[in-house]
Amino acid sequence: MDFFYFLVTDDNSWELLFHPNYFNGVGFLYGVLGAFAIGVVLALIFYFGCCNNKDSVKYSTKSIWAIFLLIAGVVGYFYADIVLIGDPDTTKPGTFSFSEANNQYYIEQTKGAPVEKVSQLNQIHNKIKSDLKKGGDVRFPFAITTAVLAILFYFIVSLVVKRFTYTGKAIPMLKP
Amino acid sequence: MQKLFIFGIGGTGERVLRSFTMLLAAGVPAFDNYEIYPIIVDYDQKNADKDRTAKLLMEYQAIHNAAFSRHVASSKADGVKEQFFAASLHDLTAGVEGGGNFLFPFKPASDHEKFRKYIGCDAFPKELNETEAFIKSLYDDSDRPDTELNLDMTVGFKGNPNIGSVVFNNIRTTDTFKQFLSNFDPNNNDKVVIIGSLFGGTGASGIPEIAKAITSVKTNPEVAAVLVLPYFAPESKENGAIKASRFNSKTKAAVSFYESSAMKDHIKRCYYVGDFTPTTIPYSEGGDTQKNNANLVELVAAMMIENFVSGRKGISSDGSADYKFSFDSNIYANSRQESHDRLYVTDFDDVSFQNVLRYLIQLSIALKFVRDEIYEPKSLSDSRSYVSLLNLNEILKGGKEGKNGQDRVWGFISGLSSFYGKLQEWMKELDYEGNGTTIPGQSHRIALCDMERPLDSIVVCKTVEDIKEENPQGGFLNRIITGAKTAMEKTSGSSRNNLDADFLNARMDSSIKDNGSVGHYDTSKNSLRSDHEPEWVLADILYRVVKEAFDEGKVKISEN
Repeated sequence: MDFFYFLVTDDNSWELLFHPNYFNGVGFLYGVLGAFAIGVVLALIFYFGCCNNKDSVKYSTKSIWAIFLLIAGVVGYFYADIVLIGDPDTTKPGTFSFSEANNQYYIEQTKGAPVEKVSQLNQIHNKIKSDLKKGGDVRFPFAITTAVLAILFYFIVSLVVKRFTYTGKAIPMLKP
Repeated sequence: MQKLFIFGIGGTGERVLRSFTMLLAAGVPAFDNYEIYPIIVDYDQKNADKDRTAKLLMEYQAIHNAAFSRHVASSKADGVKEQFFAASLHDLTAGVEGGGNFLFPFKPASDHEKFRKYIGCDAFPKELNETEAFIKSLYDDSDRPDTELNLDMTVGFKGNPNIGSVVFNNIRTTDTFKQFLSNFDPNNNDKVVIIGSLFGGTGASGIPEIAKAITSVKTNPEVAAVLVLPYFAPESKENGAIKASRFNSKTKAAVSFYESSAMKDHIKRCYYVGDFTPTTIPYSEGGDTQKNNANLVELVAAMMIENFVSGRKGISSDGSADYKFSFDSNIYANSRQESHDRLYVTDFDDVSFQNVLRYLIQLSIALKFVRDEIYEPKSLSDSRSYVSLLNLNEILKGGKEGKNGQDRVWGFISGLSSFYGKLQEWMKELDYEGNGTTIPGQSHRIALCDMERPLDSIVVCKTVEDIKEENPQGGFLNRIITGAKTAMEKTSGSSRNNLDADFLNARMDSSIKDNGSVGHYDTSKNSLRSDHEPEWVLADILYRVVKEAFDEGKVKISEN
């Protein structure tokens, strides 16, 4: 899944040990799956909600489709930002956010570790936490990539399902 | 396919044909299985009514051909059914010298030809002295210009059936009539309708002559005559050849002749229609000044053709072959109408409404939609499936120069847009209330549709005041019921009458669907089916959409 998230893996922060632990495990997977779900759900809402009314085409337009596209991006962005990256100050055990994983990783790695290593890990842990709070680290590249993926999935699903609707066959375009 | 030959004789016949063309355009189902052969017969070469009807028929034919000719050829279908402009028109007179444009080549041999010249009154050979004497005993042979022998036949027979019948007697020898006879096959259930007035010259003389000419050659033909009784009265003019005061006596003479002669033996059904209160019209002896407003009587006469072709019994039929319609028996139903002059679609009986009038309303809606939502906008929303699938934006941009059949779609759309004006003009004439004292209004107006109104109120309905006036005793109760209905509609936020462009656009889109080989759309290819020509698809979905709207009660036809 890191193929989709080249913006994240190209980020300087990626070099820090804490990241692959989370993202290569569930982060990218949940990001892609979440983006896919958002794209599918919004496309289905648009096509089978707005484009399946035989009595009106008020909401069956390219403009409304574009608004749904935007919503897919925004929802994807905040899903990645809030759910997957999370708030470092309010992490809860049992959640699968990066902020929580960051804490868990620190706890696991420092158990019985030499003082120097604990100090080093503590420094990295705090730096990630601090950067995340300021919107830094991989927060933005991860969120924006998830948003783009959500948009992409919305677009792809649109092309697939539009032909099965009453009034949405030409939205966003007739072909393919 | 069965054929339907319609002879529109004289000015009245032409105007009835005009109304009949509107019924054909509306897709009245009775004509679905017919090839229609309109034949305009008029000695008056410059008659404005004739030109108008001929042009309308040609316009109809162009629209029909644009929409359906390619589809009929490719599908090898036996005609077109359940569509606007479904019936195919055929011009029997095309290719005949002096014919074409549905006009029977029936005209004076020279300009200002006099009747005396036509019968050779001044050139009888000596051996026909007795004939000459006989002719002179029948006609006034003085030199006065207003005598029958001196009648200038350039503008027809000016209300003289005794002259017309002489001229019409030769019609059976013409090439066009022979061509008609060779096309007309009673064994194929082909039908003939002859339309004309009994109070003028051309129709009254032409109807029996044509009927006789048919039955003298064909066995047991299905022939009907629509006999129009006086329904208009030209303003009087000093020394004018046409006098409205003589219409009734001339009609009585004609009816008496038809009754006493064997004329009715040649006809399966006789339809009579007239108006006891004729509409006053400006005086005209014919030519380019004869351009009368459409009249309710002509519409009813056209509806009689539908009655004949459908084979229904007339509601006033007592078992005889005569069907009599006027505005005080069958159609003229409500007490209010006896003293007032405006009728509405709801004043007609349900059979007339369901078989004819509803289709005129549907046509009005369709034409308004095409003109306002497709033809006139500079560009159409390509969010609409039908716009994109039919490539309408490119077609409208390319106009008639379009390639690969796009010119046909253009022809269909622009044809409908032009026909909009014709239909609107016709309906306005039917509902003409007069222009002060200069141009009198119709004595009986019929309010059908006003195409300048929004779609949800396109049908002209009785006003609440009209209804109250008709039902004064039920006023209080009606108010309670109407008030309750309105309140319920407001509370539920719904109304059954919400026909608008949004609704029609949605139905246009949803009508292009994949429904096996019947549907126009192929889901797997995301395109129209290969054998579904876009012009036919457009015509088909347009008809279906408007019909659906009507069937679902979206079209408001009355206030209550």
